Amino acid sequence: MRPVRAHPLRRFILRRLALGVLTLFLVSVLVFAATEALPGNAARAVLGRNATPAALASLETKLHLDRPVWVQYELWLGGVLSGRPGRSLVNGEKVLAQVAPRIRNSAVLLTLAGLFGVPLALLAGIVAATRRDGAFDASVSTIALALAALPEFVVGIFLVILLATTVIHWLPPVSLVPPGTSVLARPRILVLPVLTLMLVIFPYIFRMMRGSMAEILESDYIEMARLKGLGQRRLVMLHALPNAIAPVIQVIALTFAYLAGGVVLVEYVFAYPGIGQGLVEAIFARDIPVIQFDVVVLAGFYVSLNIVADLLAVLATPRLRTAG
Amino acid sequence: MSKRVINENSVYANNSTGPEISRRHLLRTAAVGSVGLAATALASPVADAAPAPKRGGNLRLGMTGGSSSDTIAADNTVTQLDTPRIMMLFEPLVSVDRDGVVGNILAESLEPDKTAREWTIRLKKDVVFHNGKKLTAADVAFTFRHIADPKNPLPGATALLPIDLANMKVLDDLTLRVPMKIPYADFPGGMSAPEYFGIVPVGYDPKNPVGTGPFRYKSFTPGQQSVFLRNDNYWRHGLPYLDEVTAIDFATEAAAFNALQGGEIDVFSQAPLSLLSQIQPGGPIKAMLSKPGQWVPFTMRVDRPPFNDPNVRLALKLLVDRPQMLDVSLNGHGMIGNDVFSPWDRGFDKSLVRARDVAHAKHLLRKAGKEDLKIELVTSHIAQGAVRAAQVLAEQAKAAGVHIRLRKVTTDVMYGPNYLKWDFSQDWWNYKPYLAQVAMELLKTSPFNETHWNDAAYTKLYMQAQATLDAAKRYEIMHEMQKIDFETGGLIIPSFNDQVDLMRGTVHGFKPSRTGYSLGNFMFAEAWMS
Repeated sequence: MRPVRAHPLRRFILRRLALGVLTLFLVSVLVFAATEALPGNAARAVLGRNATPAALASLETKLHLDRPVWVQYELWLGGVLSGRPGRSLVNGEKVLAQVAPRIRNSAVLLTLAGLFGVPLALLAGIVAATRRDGAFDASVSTIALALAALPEFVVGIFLVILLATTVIHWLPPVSLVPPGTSVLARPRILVLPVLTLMLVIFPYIFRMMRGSMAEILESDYIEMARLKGLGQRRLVMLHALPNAIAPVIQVIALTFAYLAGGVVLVEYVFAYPGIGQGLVEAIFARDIPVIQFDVVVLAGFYVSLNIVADLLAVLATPRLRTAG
Repeated sequence: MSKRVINENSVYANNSTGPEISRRHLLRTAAVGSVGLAATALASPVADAAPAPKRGGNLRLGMTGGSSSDTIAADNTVTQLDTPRIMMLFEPLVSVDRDGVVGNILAESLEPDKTAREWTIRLKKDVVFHNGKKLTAADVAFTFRHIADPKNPLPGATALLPIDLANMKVLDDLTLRVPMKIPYADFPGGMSAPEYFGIVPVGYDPKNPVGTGPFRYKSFTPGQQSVFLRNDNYWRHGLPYLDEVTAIDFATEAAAFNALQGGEIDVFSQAPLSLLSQIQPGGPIKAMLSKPGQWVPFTMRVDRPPFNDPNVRLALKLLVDRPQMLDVSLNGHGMIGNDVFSPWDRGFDKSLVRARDVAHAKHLLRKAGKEDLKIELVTSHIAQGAVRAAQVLAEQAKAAGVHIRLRKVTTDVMYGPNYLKWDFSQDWWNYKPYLAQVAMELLKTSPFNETHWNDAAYTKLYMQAQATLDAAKRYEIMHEMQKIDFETGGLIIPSFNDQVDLMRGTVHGFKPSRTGYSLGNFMFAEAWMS
């Protein structure tokens, strides 16, 4: 990369990073406010029906819940900035110790879904584009449209019925993982959630790849190459693909950003011990430090993937690359 | 018995957190739908031809209603899943048994003096804690002080209020003398809720949950799962049969049922009654229907209009078509109630029976000047069938021109700051002996006095009953109290409800109970797997 270009690009990255940090801050404020707006608090959640006024007051003092909202937020923010996201209000465990394994589990899920799902969707898109309106194209396009219309959990439940509980009984319908052990120790439990996520990301990547490839295949330079007698495979993979993939890469990044939310639902269906399930639980317990941490991690993931997507778009498009 | 989240519906407690939640609502609806589909092919009960029990195995128990506030602290259950966990680890002196009768567990005997102002507790010999320490009278005294600690009273504290804690006396290793500040004839009944009165060793530290129960602690992760190992020194010789019990939290009933079908768990305790229709004979899943134990009363505040007029309370009781309500809200799985609790107590008056009488109800409302009564009923998914029962009541009350507006709230609102303050609402209970229930609910000192009942004559009868050791005479006094409950009390008890546990055909040894505690009072000690 020549130094002339580095400057605008670096400015671009820095600006996006600054905006990203600002976004995270706003998200944390909003989520904090939203949690405060919920009825009840962690002390009440912990004590349940046994919340006598005395017990409630003593626990609220212990958890600092009796202080003004902004002081609570300040306490939290100060902790996070100094690298100590605090302890769970509900069970006193360190937030980091509680959330880290869940983040790892979710990361495994997303990585596997990407590793298998992305190439599959890309390949299907390329094949469909080269045989446009053929049987493969027609059927896969229809399936992709249907999948795009279905929410994640419907896909998940459908797979459970099909592969786990009713039609055939091959796979465990829920992903039970003993705490402290890795999800990778029992690969079977990963199959259904990963498959669900693969199907969820498939339509977007497939349709983008197909559309982009079809457009390129109709362009003049491909026509020329074809007239020159280039083989179909060589034509597609070497000449068309590099140009067709640029917009798709951005879609891939955005799809994964979207999955930061989708993973919550999928984990919920399969009782998969990931960050999404942890977040749902923390919300019911009004466990603010855990909620905040989970949300910031998920939002951070979303923001960074968006930056990556934009960056890739810039790098892949010469006009944007030089404009700064 | 904790009073928190009880079924999966209630887990979806909030509607104010934006689109995430509303999608989860969808998720729930869809997931429950899938249970219906998924169930037909697999589920079915097995005639339990119980051969001889077999040693060994790891029983995996699934339940909903747990959360990250799960605890294994003795005598302080919070969530639904805490109860079985705590009952595996800790044992009380006495407990209601499967039939609701109070019997000895760690106690060899409990003897009152002639005035019921002093009790002598003798302990079973050769009971040891999980850490090898012998159970002694000092542990019992320590436990009482731990539960009734005025700085941090546990839920069982009320039942121990009469005890003169400072003057308890250890007579020998196995004997404790417990003086009372007031007569306490039904002391055993008062502390018969097993999850609130488990005995802990002197110096008990919640971080080291040592009890005398059939299983000892191995691991515990709130909201996820916990593992318990066989207590090889258990005082009931030869028990337990199982090597290990793993208790697993499920966020949804659908996930728990799927897990049961897929063989990932062996027992789904406190399953929704609606799943019963999915269980067919001959398949790998069987259902154990417990007898009616849990009850979900409507609670009317007697100190606030319009319910401060006893005519209005009685009119509402007369408007309930109980068989219809039971049919609609719980598919008939239960037993009709007649506004008096504790049906298994020997002092329960079976003659108090109430049939629907719209004409009489109208007459009473006229008398009260409330012909055109409009009231609000606060309801929530606090127990199976609770919201439906409220809907049915609203329908049925129309017959007398009573307009009940339903206000459906989430469970955390229901048990939020207004809990015990709602004018007209619902609550739920497991079985307790009559006087113990009165102490929990209908005295000025009661921790859960939903109806704000504070009746001088009634309290006097209670004190009298507690001062009467002659059972027959005590029952007479209790009958008098029940007449008051029946005629003027603030509770409408339409039914006592069944519960169902689903389990794989390989699980044996659990027997139905009628206390509201599932799995035969969570009797893991007697369970085994083939």
